[in-house]
Amino acid sequence: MKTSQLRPLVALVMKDLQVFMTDRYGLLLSYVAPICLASFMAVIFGGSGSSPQNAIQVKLVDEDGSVNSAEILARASSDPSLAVESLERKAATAAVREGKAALAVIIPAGFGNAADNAISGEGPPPELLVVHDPNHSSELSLVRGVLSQVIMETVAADLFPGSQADPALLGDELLLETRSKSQDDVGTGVNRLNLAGSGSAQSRAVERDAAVQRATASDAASPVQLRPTVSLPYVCRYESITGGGSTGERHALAAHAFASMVVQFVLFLAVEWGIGLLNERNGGIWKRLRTAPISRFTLLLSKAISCAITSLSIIAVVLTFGSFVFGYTLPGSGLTVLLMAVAFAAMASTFGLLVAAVGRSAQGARSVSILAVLVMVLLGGGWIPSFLFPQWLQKITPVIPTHWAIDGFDAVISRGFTLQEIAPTLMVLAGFSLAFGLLGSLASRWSAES
Amino acid sequence: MLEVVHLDKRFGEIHAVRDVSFRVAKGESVGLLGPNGAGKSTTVSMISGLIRPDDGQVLFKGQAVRGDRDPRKRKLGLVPQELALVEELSGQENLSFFGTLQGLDRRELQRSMTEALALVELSDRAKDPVKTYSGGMKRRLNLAVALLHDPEILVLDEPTVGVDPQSRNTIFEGLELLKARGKSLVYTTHYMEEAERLCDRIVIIDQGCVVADGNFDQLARLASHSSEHRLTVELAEPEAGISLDFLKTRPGVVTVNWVHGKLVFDLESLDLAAAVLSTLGAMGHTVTHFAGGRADLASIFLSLTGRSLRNT
Repeated sequence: MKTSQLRPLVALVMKDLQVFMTDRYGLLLSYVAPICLASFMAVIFGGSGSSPQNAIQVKLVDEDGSVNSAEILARASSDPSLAVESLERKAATAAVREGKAALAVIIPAGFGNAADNAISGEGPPPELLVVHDPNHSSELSLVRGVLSQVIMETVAADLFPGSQADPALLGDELLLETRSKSQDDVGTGVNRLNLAGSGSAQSRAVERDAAVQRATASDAASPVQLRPTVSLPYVCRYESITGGGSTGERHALAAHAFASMVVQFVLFLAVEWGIGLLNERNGGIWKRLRTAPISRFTLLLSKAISCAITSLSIIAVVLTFGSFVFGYTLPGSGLTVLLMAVAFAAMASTFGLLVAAVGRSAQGARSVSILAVLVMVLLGGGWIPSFLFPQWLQKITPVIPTHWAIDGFDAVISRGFTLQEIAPTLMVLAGFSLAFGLLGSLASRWSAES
Repeated sequence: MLEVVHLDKRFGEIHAVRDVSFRVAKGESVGLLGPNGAGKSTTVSMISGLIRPDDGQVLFKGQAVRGDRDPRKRKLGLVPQELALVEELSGQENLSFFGTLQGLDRRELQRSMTEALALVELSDRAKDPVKTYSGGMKRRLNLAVALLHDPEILVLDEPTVGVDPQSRNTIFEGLELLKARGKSLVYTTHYMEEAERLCDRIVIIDQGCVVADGNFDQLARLASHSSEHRLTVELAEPEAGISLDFLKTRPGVVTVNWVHGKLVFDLESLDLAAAVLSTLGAMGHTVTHFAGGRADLASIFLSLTGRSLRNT
C-alpha cells in the first residue's frame, strides 16, 4: 500500500479510536462491565476459594419411627452435602412446593424392617417416596446418591452387626448396583454442575465415586465376601410437585425458562421506557408538558401506566407462546397469574421511572441499567439455579426484585400457588414498586435547569 | 398582561440572569435580543415556569402562577427552541395530544386544530407522520401546537432556527396575524431583522442583564444621538492612510469608525453627507460606493454592548 493510501487509512482508524475513547459509557460497557461480571461470576462459583460449601435443603419425613429410619436420619443429617430437616409429610411437601427445599424424602411406616427383609431376600423392597421440584433436578441426582449411600450403610451395619468392616465401604459396595442403575441420572446431574462450575458439589460426587472404586478394588481383601447379586433393599417412587410425570417436569422447566426471560426482557423494556422519558425531559416535549396545567404525579403516573400496559402485553404474549409450543398449562387459578403479571409490570415500570430519574444522558443510563438488569436477573436465578450461589449470596438475593419476580412466576405457572400463597410475593413486589416509584419521583429533575 | 419583576437566577458559579425586569402589554410584541448565553432562554424558562427563579417573580395580569395545575398556565403558550413534537405521530395527532393536555374538549380541539393548521399552512399534510416533514414544516407545527389553547401570551424561543425562507415567512405572517388579533408575543432571537420586523419593543440582554429596553427609536437614541443619520462609504483603497481623528473634527460628524472595511459615519444630518464625501475626495481618496440611512439594530446592539451579535 502506498503512503498516499496509508495516510487516509490511518486517519480513519485514528478517528474511530478517538471517538471510541471519548465515549466513556462505551468504555464502561466494553471494559468495566465484562471485568465486573466475570469477577462476580468467579466469586459466585468459588473462584475466590473462600466460599463455604452449599448444603442442599432436604426435608426428611420419618413415618417409620424405627431404629433404622432414625439412623438414616442421623447419617443424612451428618452429611455436609445436605441440610436435613425432619418434618411432617404435609409440611415437608409444602416446603418443596414453595421452593424452600429441593426435595422431601418420606420414609414410610415399616420401612426399616422391610428393608432388612429385602436385603436378606425375605421380602419385597419397601418404597421410599421422594417428592421433588423439577427445577432442582441437579440437586435431586446428588441427593439420591447420598441417600442411597446412607441407607446402604445403615442396612449394612444392621445386617453385619459384628463385622469389623467399615460400614461406609459396605455401603459403597452395595451402592455399586444402585450407581449402575441410576448412572444416567447421576451423570446428568454432575455434568450439569460441571457446566455451571459448582466446585464443591462436584468434588463431593467425585470423592464418593472414588470411594466406590476403592471398594471395588479391595474386593479380594475385604473381610466380607459380598454376593454380586445383592440388590437395593428399597425402591424409590418419585413424585414431582408439578404432577404429570416427566412431561410435567419438562413443562415446568420450560415454564421456568419463559418466566426468567419474560422478567429479563420486560425489565429491558422498562429501561427503554425510562430512556424515552429521559429523552423527553432533555428535549422540548418535556417543556411543553410542564407548561400544561397537569400535575407531576399525572405525568409520572402516565408513564408508569403505559409502560405497565406494554409489559403486561409482553408477559401475555411470551407466556402464551411458551404454553402453546412447550405445552405447560396453568395448574392454579388464572387470577394468580394475572395478579403476578400486574405486580411485576408495576415493579418494572417504576424501575423505568427510576432509570429516567437518576440517568443524566440516554446513553449512560442505558449502559448502566442494562448491566444492572443482567446482574439482577443472574442473582434472581434466571440464568442458573440460585442454589449454586454461595450461602452469603443466597442470603442477600431476597433483596433483589428479580428473585421475587422469577420465583413468583414459577410459583403461579408451575406450582399452582393459591392467592393466599402468592400474596407475600405480590406484597414484596408492590413494596419494590412503591420504593422505586418514590425514589424515581423524588430524584426526578423537574425543572429545565439540567 | 405580563410582568417580569427582578428575576434572578444562578447555576452554581454562573450568574445567568441578574435582576431582569420588563413588561409586556396586551397585543404588544416584545423581542428579547441577545447573544448566545446572554440569559434569554433562562428568562423564557422562568416566564414559562420551567425554572424556578432564585429571586423575583413572573406575573400574569398581576398574579403569579401557583402550582402545576394552576389554570393561569393556560394564558401562556410556549414555542420551545427544540422541536417539541412526537415524530412518530401525524401532525393532527400531535395537535390532538397536546390540545388534550391543555384541557380542550373534543369540539374545541377540532376547531383549534383546524385554525392552527391553517395558520401555519399545514392543513394538507396534517395526516402525515411528522417524521416525514421538512425542518421548516416541523417548525411551523411546533408553533401551531402552542396556539391550540388560544393563549393570551405566546412565548417563542428562537422559533426560526434552521428554517428555510419560505417557512420563516409563513411563521412571520402567522405571528403578525396573531399580533393583529391582540395576542402578546415574547420573542427571543439573535436575528436582528426578525426583531426589527416583528417587535414593537426590544429588550437587549447581555451577560444576564437588561442592557436596554425600548422601541427602535428609543434604542437608537440610547446608542447614539445621530445614528439615524448614517453614511457608509467604501473606498478604492480601504484604510490607506485615513486619519479618523481628522475626520471626527469635520463639521456635523458625530462618530466615524471602520466597520468591516467600510467607513461608517454617524452624522448630525444626512444633509452633511455631500460635505463628507468632498472632504474624502480632497484627501485624495476615491469613493467607490456610498449609502445613507438609518442605523440598523445590529449597529445599535454593537454600540450598546460593545460587541457584534453574530460573533458571540
